[in-house]
Amino acid sequence: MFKRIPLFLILVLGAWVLSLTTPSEAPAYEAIEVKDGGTVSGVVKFGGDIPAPEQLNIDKDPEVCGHEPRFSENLIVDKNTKAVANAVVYIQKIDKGKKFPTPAEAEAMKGVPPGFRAEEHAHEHAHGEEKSEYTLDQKSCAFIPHVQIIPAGSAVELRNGDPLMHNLHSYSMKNSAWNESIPGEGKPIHKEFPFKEMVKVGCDVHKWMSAWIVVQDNPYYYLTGEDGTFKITDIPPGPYKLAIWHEDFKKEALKAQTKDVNVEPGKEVTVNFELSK
Amino acid sequence: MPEKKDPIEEKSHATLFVVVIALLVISSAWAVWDEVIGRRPWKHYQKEFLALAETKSLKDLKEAKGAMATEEYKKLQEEYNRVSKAYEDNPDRKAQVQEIENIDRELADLIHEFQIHRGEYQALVYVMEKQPEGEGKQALLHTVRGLEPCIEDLSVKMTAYQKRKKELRHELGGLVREKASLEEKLIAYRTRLEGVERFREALKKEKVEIKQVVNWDMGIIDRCHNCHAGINRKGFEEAKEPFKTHPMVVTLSPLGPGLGERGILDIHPLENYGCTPCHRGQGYATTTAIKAHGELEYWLTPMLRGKYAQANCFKCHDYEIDVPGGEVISLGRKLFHEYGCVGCHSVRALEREDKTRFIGPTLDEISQKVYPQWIAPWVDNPKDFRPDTKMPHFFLNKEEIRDIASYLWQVSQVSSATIDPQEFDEEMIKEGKQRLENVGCLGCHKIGDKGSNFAPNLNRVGEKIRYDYLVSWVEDPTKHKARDRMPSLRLNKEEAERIAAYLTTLKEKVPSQEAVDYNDPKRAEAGFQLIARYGCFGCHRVKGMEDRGKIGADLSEEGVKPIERFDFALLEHEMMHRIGLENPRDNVSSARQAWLTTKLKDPRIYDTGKYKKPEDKLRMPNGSLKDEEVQALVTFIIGLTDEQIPQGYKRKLSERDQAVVDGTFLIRRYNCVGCHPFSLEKLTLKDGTKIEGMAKLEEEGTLFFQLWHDYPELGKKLGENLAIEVEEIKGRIPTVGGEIVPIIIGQLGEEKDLVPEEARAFAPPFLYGEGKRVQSDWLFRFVQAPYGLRPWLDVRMPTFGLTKEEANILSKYFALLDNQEYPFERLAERESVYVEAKCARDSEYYVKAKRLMDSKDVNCGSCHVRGEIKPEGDPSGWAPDLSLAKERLRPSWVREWLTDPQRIQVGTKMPKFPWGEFQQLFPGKPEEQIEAIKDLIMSPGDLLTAPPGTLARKGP
Repeated sequence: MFKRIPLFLILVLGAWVLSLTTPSEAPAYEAIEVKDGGTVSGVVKFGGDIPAPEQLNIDKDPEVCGHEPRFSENLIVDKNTKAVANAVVYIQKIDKGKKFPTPAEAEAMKGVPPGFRAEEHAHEHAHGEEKSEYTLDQKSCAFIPHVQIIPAGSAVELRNGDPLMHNLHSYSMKNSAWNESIPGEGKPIHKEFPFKEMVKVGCDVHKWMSAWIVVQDNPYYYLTGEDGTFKITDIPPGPYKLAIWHEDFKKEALKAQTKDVNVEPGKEVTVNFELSK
Repeated sequence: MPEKKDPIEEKSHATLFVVVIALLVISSAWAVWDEVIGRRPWKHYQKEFLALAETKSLKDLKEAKGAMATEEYKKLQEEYNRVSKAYEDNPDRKAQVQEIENIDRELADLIHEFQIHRGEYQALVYVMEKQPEGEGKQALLHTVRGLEPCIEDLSVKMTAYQKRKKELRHELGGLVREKASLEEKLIAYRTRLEGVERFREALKKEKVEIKQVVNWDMGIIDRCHNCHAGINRKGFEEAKEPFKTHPMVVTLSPLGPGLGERGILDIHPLENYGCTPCHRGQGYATTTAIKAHGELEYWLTPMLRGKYAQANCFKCHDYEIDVPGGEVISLGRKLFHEYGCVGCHSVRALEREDKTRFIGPTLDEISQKVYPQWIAPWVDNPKDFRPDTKMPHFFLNKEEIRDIASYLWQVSQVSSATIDPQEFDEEMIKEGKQRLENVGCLGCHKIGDKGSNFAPNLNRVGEKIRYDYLVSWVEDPTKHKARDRMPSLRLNKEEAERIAAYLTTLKEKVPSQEAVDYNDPKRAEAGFQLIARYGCFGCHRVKGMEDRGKIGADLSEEGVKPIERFDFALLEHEMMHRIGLENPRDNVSSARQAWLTTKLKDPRIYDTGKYKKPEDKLRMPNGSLKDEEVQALVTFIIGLTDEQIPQGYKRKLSERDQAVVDGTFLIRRYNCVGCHPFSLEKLTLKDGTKIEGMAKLEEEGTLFFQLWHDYPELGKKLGENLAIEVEEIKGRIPTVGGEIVPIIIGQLGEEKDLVPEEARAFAPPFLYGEGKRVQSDWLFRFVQAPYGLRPWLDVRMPTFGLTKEEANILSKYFALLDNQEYPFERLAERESVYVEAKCARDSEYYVKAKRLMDSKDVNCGSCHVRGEIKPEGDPSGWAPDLSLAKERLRPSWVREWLTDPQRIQVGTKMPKFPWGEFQQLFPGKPEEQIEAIKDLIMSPGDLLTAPPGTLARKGP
């Protein structure tokens, strides 16, 4: 009789093999110990009149996707403060600095997502569950999270929490594109993202669904939450370019927002962004 | 008395004798020298070549031996020894083979057990389902549930065994592959050395002597290689002349089946073809280079140098549109047709193209179609109105133009009351623009800098064509006599009105409003004469002149026309001076090239300085050709000869090649490539790696290239991206076709914020592998009467009004290109015998397949139309009608497609089939599940669309 190789051994070996192959593709970023690093913080706001939220045309599977009217997550602006959620603020071109966060640590590099109800997620913390990987889940025919940032070379676990078939179609150009279907509550699938890119993911069955996986080649980034604020810490002192990305604005408009910042040891610089249509 | 001396003694002739003897000796010596050396310059060349070859091969030998003494080679050898020993001694090998056998046994048992349990389970489920609600049913349900873990457990075990077996197979295969790859590398070293050694052996045997190729069929005795000693030997690419290797390497057309790259002399071996069939010249002359090249007085076929040698490709490759390696002559041939040369000049070899010679529109409807003021400036200078037009400039004055217009105006159909340009509201124009862009007009026409140059660009169409004519033309061009190739896009009247409204806004200048009168019958009479002289009916259908012949010279034998018949007029001296000749007869070839080139660049040049009445002047119009176009046309014309090549030497096309040639002709004629991409992009990297796929993005010197095949040597699978440094790319053959794709992607990005990769699904389908996808008879019908197949597309396959013959050619092209059976094939899945056989084995087969397809976790119907059953939501989110599949798709393709659609059409909206799920719905391997879905989709009758519950009854 043959000996069964334990599954975990295969996984460990597989991960090891993958870790051998990815560095050649991943951009060169060197993790060093950052002493006396500086901080850049600020807020992203919307300039001008806030457009009315776009209502989604939910024309399929209402028993799962819901009957109530739902609105697009493309642009979420706080009515009072005009704070823009789901904006990615990041430092361009930095080749040395703090190490990349683990998925659990990355939780600290984003704001509170819009519509996040703490009580619903209370049990996760209560059980002391630590986030061990990046995930893209689907619930009530919406992707969760709508936007996330991951380090280049890491993998995302694709899940389907709905009781029907969804497909996940990545519209990537640099990273290999794919289109996978997962049956209701079926087995998750892992996908790797070796290159820096803003990857849109859609579902061809439910056209209104979309999500963004923002792959960054350095760990200096922040995803704004409902209050629009950001805070990037432990930056080695020096001059940098601070860039912003948001799915709902044109490339040129975002490029024009790129700002020069000079980070000084132990100090906090404030930079604010105003995005307008 | 003086002694009488004997005159013979008295007079000495010694000096004379000496002189004569000396002369005799000298002339004999000269005769010998001339015979042995003077008239045999090739001896000297051969000796020089032998010395050159000796030096070179010695160097090669040293290098080849050196390479085998390097560390690298030793390492390779050691590695090979190690691997082959490991392979031989590997105790695991035996163990692994043993293990596989064990697994097979185990599996057989498990499957048996599984089938028994599953049978019991299904029977029980059936009984339970039939039971009325109540305790009995609950009890049964309990038993059923109790059986489930057992079945699941078995299925898990089976999967595990299968996985292990796959791993073992892979491991076993790994070592074998490694060994083979190392062996191949080692052999390459040895082959190199052996090659050099063989070359040196051959060199030793080589004598300095006259060599010749004699081929009585072709009528050649060629001795060119007496001097050009390296012409058919590799390795002398860098040598000086006359020793260079023949330079040409041929790459086959990307539209056709590829032979890859081959040397031109590998395809045409010197021993058969010699040199003169392509290059001309005086093949048997050996005394001087000038004589051998035939570049002297009275030799009628001097050598064709460089690209001009392609002129002769046409002799044997007369049927092909793209002669591999004959890019210049292929272009010349294409231009000869596209510029309408064939409308005035007869060429016997092109007779089959005569029926498509009208490259301009029919002029029968001109009075309804255009504004009268537009005609005069257009004819006077067509390129001024439309810089890329093919209409040439005729040397006509204003009065003559008016005469011609009067004739055309009077014979054309009486215009209905013309509506003056109307004002249209912004919204209508905007909608028209949008529809024009998204329905696919830009696949052929250009507006601004967007679109294709295939059909007339529309930048100033608003100055030319009347609104009401535009409406009826756009709505259905096939109703108009003026139609040539413009297809119908099956637009309705409202759409046509909107598009026409937009078109009327496309103006650059305010057109003249000056009244013009084309009604004078006298002018029409004069116009008739002018049309007859200038031959407008060569390109346009002109009423009343349908039976006119071609007005230009017959060019069937232009390539061998005696040089005296080329009239240089007053320019002979000047032109000959420019090409370094005294007289055209000194080098017929250069003189002829010069005459033709000059004529094509400036067709009336030979009238310079001559006194001629207007009607006697040269008539050929000026097409403002580019230099490379002139060269291509001249090459084509030089190749036109009366020479008969024996059949055996003509390119005999296989059935498949013939189909590809015919198909390519139609694909170009109807510009299918304007919308559909046809081939993959091919890259050659500097390290020799060749890959095929699609370039996705180029950024900062890196090309992200999606691979469309598996490349185990690169560790990449089909669909994955390879990041390549742009400077590592040596050769790049782009995708053929799909001009409209980037336009559509750009437009959807603007209008609907789609990212490029997302928008790609809205472009016309990629036809790479189309022959594998569709059934030939479906394609035959579809191209004649296309319909909307993909509900989400705005862009539309037009109706071209193809004839049956054309539809046959296209359907054959796609089938044979992909090595499919043609024309008839058996599709077993569509036969009732097949269905009966499947049902006999498992009466629930089709029911289960349908259950699987309809389950919420596969749910094909969520996107796919099935006959009358439409999916929920907006049609833009629907997918093709599955009830059409059995008539349209090949079963083998359906199976491949279901397994992994991304492997066939990367970027498709169709997701991959979930692997190893649905054991409740359809117990079995994913391959079996896919097979069953395929069988159901392809099944005859209405099994696919039959309501649930009725299927079982349909089985036997």
